[in-house]
Amino acid sequence: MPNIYLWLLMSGKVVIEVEKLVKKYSGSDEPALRGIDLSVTEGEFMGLLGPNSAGKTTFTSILCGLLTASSGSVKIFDHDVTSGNYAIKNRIGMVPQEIALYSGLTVRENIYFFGHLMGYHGAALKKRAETLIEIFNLGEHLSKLIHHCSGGIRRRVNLITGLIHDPELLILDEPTIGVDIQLREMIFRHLKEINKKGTTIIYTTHYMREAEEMCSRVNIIDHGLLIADGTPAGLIISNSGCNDLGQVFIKMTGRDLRD
Amino acid sequence: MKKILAILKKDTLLMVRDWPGLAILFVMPAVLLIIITFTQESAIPSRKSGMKIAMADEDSSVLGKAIVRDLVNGGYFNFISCSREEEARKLILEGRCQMALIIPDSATERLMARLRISSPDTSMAGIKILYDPGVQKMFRDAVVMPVTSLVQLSAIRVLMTETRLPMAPLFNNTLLTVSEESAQKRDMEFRPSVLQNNVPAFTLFAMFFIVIPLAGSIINEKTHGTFNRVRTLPVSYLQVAGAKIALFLVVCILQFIFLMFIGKYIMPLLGEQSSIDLRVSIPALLVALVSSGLAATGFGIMVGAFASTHGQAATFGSVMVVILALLGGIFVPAYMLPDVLRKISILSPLRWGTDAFLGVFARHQGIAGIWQHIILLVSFFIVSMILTVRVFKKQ
Repeated sequence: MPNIYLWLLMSGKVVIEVEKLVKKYSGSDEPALRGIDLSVTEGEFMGLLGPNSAGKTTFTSILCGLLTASSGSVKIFDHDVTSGNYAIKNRIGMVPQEIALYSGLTVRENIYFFGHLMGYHGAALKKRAETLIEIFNLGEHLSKLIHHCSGGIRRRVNLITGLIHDPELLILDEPTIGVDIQLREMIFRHLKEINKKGTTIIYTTHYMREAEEMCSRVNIIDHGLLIADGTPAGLIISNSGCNDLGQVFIKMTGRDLRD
Repeated sequence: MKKILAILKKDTLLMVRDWPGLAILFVMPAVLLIIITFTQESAIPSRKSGMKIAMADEDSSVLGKAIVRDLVNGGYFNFISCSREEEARKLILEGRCQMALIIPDSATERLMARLRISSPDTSMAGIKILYDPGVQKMFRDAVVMPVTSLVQLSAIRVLMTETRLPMAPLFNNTLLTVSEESAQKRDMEFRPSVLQNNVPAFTLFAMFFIVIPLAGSIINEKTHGTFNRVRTLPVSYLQVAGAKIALFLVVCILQFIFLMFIGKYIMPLLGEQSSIDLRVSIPALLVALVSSGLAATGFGIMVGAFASTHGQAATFGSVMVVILALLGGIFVPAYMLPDVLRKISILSPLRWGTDAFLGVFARHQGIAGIWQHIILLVSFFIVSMILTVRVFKKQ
């Protein structure tokens, strides 16, 4: 393990602690996760990379409380969440890959609805919502129904609803799919900013350049196992013949299609 | 509580903005109530119904005239007068009437001849009833039976009069009276009417039709990812389901008020003569209403949990509601069903609801009289919710 992680582990507060995590779906022969060990400390911006069907979504779903583990243990903020994570849900923000919004509600109604469910109310919610609306430049679209909004606006609202409660741990599942370069820059800028302020981020993506640019640490998962863990630069240096993270990824996971 | 209110507000906004869904919940049962109430009243051949009967008096003598007079004065059916059997057949084949009564030539003569000659060879005066083969047997029977009785009575009256028997004048008046009376509550001036049965029955039918928008909203949340997203938030199943149950329970109560309004104020404007008597036990009515609403909501949520597409929920939900309604006595009273279906019908929540509402509206019972149905309805709701939570956890 590179020295920087030893240092981080020694100095930072552990946010996520995963040990021998196994997930097997009923009716499936092969487990989706086959014994994952991982530790994430406070303030890390961790990229989770992997080909399709590698186990990324299963892993993040267990972190979010959508799935329960078959065996092993998962601790978030020192709470055992192996069979659910109700007690610490308001400290975690989840931004799913799909636009998980109510299409019959307006932009404002969606933002406030998720804020209320996170326990924000009254002036505090209004202040937080207005800040995010300004950051993501949504002021003139607040009264639009989601199903009348463009893909870019929906993507921004999808992100805001995961950030509305200012989470300590933010899990993003491919948040930049289908967005233009301007919006991508806007998202990156904000994520870097909140990460600087201490938010721990787990970021899954298929865009290697994004991971290289944004993440302080990258994990590559394949066939339900973590096969690489390090800084982007460290992984490139330690894999001879590779000039970028994309080449490292191909070298480690191969060229075969997965699904 | 604030979270439940937030979910309630969200679900209310989504429902109010879904106009087709609202139409299903309110307009459809109102239209059904109006059409079926009027249809039921004209389903039995009568002067009110559109069924017409041609009458050809080829006899044109005492018996023929007596039969025509008695049938017309009886006021049971709509008659069209015609002269010959051939003309009556033509009217039926042209669809201008559905049945015809033929009083044959010399019917009076043959009737009187039976008095004079007691030979079995003497041919009787044969009154003939023609019918369109398209007329269903139950409607034919509904005409043939009273017409046969009236014709026999007319014949007796003619015989008495023509033979100048001393008791003949008696037959020109009613000999005895037959009255109908409810077996219950003799002290109340209460007469059950079509509306008294139909309004609660169609309210119940409408309540269970919330399966379509309710299951649809759950499937929307599942397919759009919002269901899973809400599961990542600090909200329990109980809070999410509680808000939905509260909203749809209010919808059920509004459906009831709306259909009561239609029955009380709109139906009379459309020509309905019966009305709804609201002198019922209010606690029993509220308990029946809430327990039926809970059963309907539980059914809708359960269908939404099990189904994975809108098509599945809409098809299964609506077909099941119609089947449960048929078994539950919404369209045809449960006591009229064949033995096998009547036994199966005790499994239908709509039957429990119908029985509870009939207890309140038609039999004027209090909670003590309907508690068995209430327990069944509430148990159905509880079982539905347990199954729903299990399915969601498995999914």
